Amino acid sequence: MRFAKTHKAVSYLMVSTAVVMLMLTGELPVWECVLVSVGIVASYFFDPQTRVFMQRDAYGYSLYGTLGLVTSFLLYRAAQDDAWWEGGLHLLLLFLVAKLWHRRHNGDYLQAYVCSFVILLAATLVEISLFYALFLFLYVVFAMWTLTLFHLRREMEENYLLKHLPGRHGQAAESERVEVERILNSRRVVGWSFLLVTTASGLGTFLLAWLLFVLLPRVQASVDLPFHRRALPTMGFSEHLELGHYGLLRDNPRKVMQVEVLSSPRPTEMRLRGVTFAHYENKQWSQLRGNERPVALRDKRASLLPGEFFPATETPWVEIYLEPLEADSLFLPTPNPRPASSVLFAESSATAAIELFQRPDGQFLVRGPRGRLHYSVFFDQAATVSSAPKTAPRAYLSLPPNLQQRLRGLADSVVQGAQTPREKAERLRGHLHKHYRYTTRLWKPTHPEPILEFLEHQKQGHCEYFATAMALLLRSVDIPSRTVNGYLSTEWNPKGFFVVRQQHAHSWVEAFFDGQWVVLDPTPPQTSPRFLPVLHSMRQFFDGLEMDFGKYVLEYDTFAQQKLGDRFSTLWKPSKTTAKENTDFGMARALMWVAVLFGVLLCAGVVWLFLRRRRRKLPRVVQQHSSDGNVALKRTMALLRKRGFERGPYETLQMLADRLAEQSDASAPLFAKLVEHFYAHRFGDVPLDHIEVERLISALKDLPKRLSM
Amino acid sequence: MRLRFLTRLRGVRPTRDGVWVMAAGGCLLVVALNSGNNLLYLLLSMMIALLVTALCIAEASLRGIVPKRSPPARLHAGVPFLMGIALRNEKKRLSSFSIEVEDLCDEKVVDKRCYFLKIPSGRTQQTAYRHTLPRRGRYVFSAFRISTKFPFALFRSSRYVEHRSEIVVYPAIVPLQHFPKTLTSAVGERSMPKLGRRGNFHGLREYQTGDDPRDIHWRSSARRQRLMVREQEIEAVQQVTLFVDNALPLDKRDNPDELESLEKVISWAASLGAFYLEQGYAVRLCVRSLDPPLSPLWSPSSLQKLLLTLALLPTVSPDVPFQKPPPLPRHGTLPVAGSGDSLILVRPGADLSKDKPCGHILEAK
Repeated sequence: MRFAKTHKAVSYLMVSTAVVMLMLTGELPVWECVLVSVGIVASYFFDPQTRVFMQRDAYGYSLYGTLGLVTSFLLYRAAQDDAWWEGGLHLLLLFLVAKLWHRRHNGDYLQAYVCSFVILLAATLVEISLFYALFLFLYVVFAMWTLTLFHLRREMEENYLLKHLPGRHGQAAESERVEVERILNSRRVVGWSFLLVTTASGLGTFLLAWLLFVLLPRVQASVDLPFHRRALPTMGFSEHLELGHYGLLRDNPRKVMQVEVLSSPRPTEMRLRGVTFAHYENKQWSQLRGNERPVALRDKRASLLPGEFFPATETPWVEIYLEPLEADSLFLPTPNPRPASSVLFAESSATAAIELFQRPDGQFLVRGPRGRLHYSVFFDQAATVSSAPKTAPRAYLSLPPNLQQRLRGLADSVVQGAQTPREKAERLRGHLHKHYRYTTRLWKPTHPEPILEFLEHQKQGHCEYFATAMALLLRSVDIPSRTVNGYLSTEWNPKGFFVVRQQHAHSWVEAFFDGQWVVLDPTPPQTSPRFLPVLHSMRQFFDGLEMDFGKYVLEYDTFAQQKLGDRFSTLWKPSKTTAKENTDFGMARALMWVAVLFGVLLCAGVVWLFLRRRRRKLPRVVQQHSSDGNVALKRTMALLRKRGFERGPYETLQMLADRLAEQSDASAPLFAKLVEHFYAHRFGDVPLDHIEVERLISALKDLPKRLSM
Repeated sequence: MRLRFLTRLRGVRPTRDGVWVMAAGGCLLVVALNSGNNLLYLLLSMMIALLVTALCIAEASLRGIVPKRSPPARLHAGVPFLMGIALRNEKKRLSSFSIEVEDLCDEKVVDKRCYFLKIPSGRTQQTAYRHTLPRRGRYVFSAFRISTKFPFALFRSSRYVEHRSEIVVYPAIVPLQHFPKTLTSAVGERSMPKLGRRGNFHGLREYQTGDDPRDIHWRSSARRQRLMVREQEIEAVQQVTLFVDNALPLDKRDNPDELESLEKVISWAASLGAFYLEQGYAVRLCVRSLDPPLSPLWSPSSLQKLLLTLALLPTVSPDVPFQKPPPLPRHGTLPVAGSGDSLILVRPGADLSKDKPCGHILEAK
């Protein structure tokens, strides 16, 4: 792979990953996402170094002038709308795209990398989904490739400047400049093995990052950052109910919340109340009039019962993980049959900023800047106190005058013969189930009252029509009723929670008889779309992953750390635990094994390095010197051999030197000095004095030959 | 001792980029601790993990790297030379990237750096750096400092590798403007004895650096398995004896001018010796020393001995006598001298002008 092209490609991968992470947060409008994507992709194929006009000053001035104007405009808009966060994001993306179009030097690349990191940081502040972790892994790998190649490129351009040409006798004659283009176009610097090894390092880095994440102490100074994910616009669910819209209702699979069931038995469906409506007039419902009552939060806990107390027989019911929505409703499960008694917000929810209110119709609202909400709902097993009023307010019996007669006639014909309100309600529900059809294809109303057109002509519609019809028909036979907007989910994940999506938004009716509000769902059951089993399994798997991500990553706090530590200490003695604790236990155990494995690998690596270093105690340099000493000795012995002196098999060098001295040979003093050097080097670990040894050998060579041998 | 300590030391210093990254990490730590945002913690963990990985990869890159020095055969003071540096990567699988090598001369780092972009596993890469040693004498290149900023240029990891090379820098050979008149006129009058193909065959000896490759006797070389050169008898040879006054009183040894003057003397002596040897003269060198003198030199190949002696010539006090000129061998190898022997005394003179020889030249009968 050519070095320069590889560097460009991995740079774009890294930058694009960060931009995609920001886009996934939903903070950017669609037009900006498209514009930025096109700008980045187009800049890849544009080579600014070959454009002569970009080198001119006029171009530089006009570019900076334009950027300056755009920046000023964005800042002005941000100041006007007090939208500094959005303004900052726009500026960041503008700067990034401009840098990518003008990447000529290493400095331009470096600025683009810094920009991508700031974008990643921005996405971190507002992102809360599993995709963050997946893209973070990709960013880590791409960053390792990119930064490594960037470093090599920068070093090349700084170091490969001069080539020294040899002169005579090893002297340097002159030096010439080296162009690095040839090296940048070389295929021999990086290859697939380089990228594979770097990817493996990236994986190791990612795992180490997770380990550090678990171990870093959680100390919160309770200073909440002002950055939260933009609230999801709710599709399907609304805090307003108006009939008459037409078109095609789209299924939006986006997750709204996850509901973990803590009590047994497990219900087959999860119905969550959002907002209730009391008055119907001119095609739309409105809520019961009255003032909202603030609900006190003590230690993140609020009572939902009149009198604001917490029954002793409270039991955990469900745990709800609610995405930040535009709606203020606090979703609670419908009485089953006991109503919710209190709610406890988790540590991770920024409850310092939120406020709880209760409407006259019993609906609870959450207001204030918030991110993802995690709260537990309790119900009173003994139900010592009933939260329902003895009689329903008269508002729940009101009918529009123009509908009374026709509705009453229709209702009477259906409920004829029924004695009790329950029977009447069941008859009305049965009638709607049997004679009316559910459809997502909304017809355009021609009648000023769409509900009449639904009941008398169309006989098909979506849940709001059914709920409206049911509620009005009940009221026409003097049964107080109200419509409720919320969510109904039957999507159970084997990990132990219901998944609630936008498409599960639903309307139903609550009728008051027998001293309580009873849930009635007049909408005929629909067959859910069939997925391929493998796709369904994959979807469940990713939902489970996202749930774990939310629980164990986003909400990992001091208490979770302590709990993990406690779990490690009691791992070998599992005691009676609930299903939830077993899940925590399993997760803790898995984390423990990962930590142990990592620790073992680390220790093994340290031991291996230590042993290797011990084996290589003698640096190779010393061995090289030993071989030099051997060469000098061989030459000396060869010279002595010429003079007729052969070293005996059991004769040491000193003994040979003594023999030479005994025979008064001219070489004796020189050889004695050589022996001293050899011994000092061999046994005294003294570096060999090459100069002196050469001199002695040379002198030995120059000695006249022996006259007789 | 210091070098041994250094070779055990592994230095890690953050670069400028590394300081910025650590500062950003510090800010991120403060924000994460403050807010408790777990994704910020995750990002912080990733940054710390990247720093740790950078250190580990740098360490792996430096492992198994063995440097070697290849100095040129002959070095003269003040003359730029190329010092060859070879790096061998002894790792079996991993390549090393972005390695910088610095040489240590007399335990000080030479201000030249060699850069190796990539050293594949099991391979050797070579480069050189240009350097000038200002003075003659013995220089000890004791170790290498190998460093790398790979992979992210956040840290510079370095280590010292001991590799000792002793290099002798010969005195500078300067172009001479003046030669003793009598000697210069003698050049060309008599036969120019040289080693070569003319003259009677004298004998064979081993090849030395500097010998003309045309003088190699190939048959003998093949028989003896080492290079042998022919030596021709020369009819007559002029000889010259150089007396080099390397004395300097103790009180003058701190004076840089005096030292410079002495170096010039030695440089002149080397230049004269080289000239005469090239012209085929027999040269005897006598210096102030109590050691026996150098044996007479009579071929250009023995220039190295002369230069080596002059390179390592110490400064002595004036009371140290000159060496007695060694007798020229009368029998056997060298031919007898012709009539007359010129004695040249090279010693520091009062005149330090560049254009005039720095020395007094005596002519002797």
